[in-house]
Amino acid sequence: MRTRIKNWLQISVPIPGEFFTKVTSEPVPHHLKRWWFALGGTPAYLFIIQVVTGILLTFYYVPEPGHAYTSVQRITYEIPFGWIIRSIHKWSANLMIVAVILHVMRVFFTGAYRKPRELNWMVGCGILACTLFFGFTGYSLIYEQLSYWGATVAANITQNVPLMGDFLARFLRGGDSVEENTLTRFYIFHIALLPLAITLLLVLHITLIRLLGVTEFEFEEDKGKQAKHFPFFPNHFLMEMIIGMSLTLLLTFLVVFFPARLGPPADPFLTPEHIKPEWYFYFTFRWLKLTSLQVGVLGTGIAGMILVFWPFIDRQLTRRFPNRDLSVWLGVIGFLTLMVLTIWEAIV
Amino acid sequence: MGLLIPLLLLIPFAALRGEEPKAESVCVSCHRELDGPLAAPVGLWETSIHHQMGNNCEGCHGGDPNDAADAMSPEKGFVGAPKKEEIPAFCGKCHVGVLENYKKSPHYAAFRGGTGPSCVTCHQGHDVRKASFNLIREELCSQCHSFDNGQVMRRAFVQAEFAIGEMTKELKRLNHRGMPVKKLEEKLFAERNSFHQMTHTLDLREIGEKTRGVIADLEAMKQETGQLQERVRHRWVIGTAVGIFLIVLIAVLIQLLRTYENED
Amino acid sequence: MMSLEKKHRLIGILATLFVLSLLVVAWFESHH
Repeated sequence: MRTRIKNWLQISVPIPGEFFTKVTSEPVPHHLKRWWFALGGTPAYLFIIQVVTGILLTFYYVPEPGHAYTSVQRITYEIPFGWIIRSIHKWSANLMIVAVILHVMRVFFTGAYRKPRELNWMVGCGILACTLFFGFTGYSLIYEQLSYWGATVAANITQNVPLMGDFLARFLRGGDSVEENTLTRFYIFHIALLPLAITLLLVLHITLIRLLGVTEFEFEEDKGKQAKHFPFFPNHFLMEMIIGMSLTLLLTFLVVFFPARLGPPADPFLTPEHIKPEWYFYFTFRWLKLTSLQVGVLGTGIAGMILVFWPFIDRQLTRRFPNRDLSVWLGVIGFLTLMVLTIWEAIV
Repeated sequence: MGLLIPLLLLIPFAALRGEEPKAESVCVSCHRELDGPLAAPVGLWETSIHHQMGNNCEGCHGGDPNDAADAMSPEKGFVGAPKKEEIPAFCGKCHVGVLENYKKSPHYAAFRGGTGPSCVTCHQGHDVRKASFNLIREELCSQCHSFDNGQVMRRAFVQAEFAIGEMTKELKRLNHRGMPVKKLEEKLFAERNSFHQMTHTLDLREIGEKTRGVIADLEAMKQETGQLQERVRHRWVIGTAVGIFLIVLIAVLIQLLRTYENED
Repeated sequence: MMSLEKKHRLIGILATLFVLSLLVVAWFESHH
């Protein structure tokens, strides 16, 4: 019976069986035994968790200013296990952003963005942007005070983008202020447009990796060893499983001991004393406070462009200053600057 | 060398600061320069809770705080300093509930008679501090009468306030652990409000009754919070069990991985 | 030219700093 089904599948979907074996048993370069290099799979795993918990949340969430907050309240306090789904979604979102940042750091400092992987680096930057925008829209959907005012401040800041500022701000808000239209479009961004965009980028990202192969590195202690690769299945697969289970363990701890809660509901007539974005935007917020709005926005934009086009900047740097590892040092300075700005905003 | 670059970049930004300091009102700038009793209120007000909360001169006295020409103009609402008999109505412009309660008290009756205390007798005029039960103390009350009743009242207030404080902390703890405490918080808020009203009605019998009532209500609330705490504990136990299961699973997977590695 | 080992160690240090700074931020958030 099994052979008959197998034969039927072979005829219906004419992909030779060898294709699957080849795709799953590609030998994995030895350096990937080090855990830092398995950081690409981490955000992917968390993304799947987000999709699952996110879909479950849409069963009860209502994207309308009058009902959004109360629907989140219901999910958190009334619906059985609602608190678990919501807390997983909240923590997984934060962990995913952390994981993407760590992955970007690993790729940056090992120079894995170099030719011929410049395009893939830019695709990766797109994924980073999507992830951050996911976080921003998602947090706004709760419609508590900080959601509403955070969105208001963000739209006001967007207004200062040169040339397109007004258009962008109105596009973000769906009007002149944050209200019904804003919530609807943030919802559409969060559950439809961004998932579509990030899925396409992820498919492109993974396809490019498979086509180009993972950048091979040779560590000192591996030199001279006979086997330069190890099998994807079961070795690398088991490793990914261990990482996945460890993430689940971390999530369990966070969800049970630090469940998602609710601040005061959004009140357009009451501006809170301290408006702050989520932690992953602290660095831009602090930067904006240190300079004027125009310089702040311009600075952030330029920094973003530098990041996206880094492989090309790096090429010029290595050409002019070979053997100096300038990229690494500039990266360290950049990272430390972002860290200082983030902590500064948190402390004040 | 590379570290100098970001430091150099910081220089122009000092010139591009976006925030500006707030200007002080014309009332303050003028009165500060005057003699004796006319300058005193400025310093007193600057240490007050009113100043902290952003309630400035014009909030009570009217007038235009930005334009020296209209600063003391009746057209801009300037009312000047209240006469002694006008004080309760003056403060009662904002503290409406308190004024109502004060009017029910023996203090108001005495005040109407010419001898009793007004708001500023206990609370000061310009260096008003955040109200606390420390205002019910011997040195203030014994200016006019014995502190016997005051002692009883103070004890009752402090006892109930402490119980409310403990419940506030407990609700905050439960909120942090994901429990629905909104209804309980609202109930507590109402209790505290109705309880605080008695600080100005000063009816000894009512205070005793109300205090006992508050403490009894809090005991009832403790039943509910106890149940919520049980739910929290329940979650923690299951969460820990799941965690232990995952740790064991991870250990097994690591061992499995090691066996494959040893084979290589 | 920095060896791979050194770069690896650098990533480790920076990643640890990153996670630590997040814990600092989280601490301040909860004690606001």
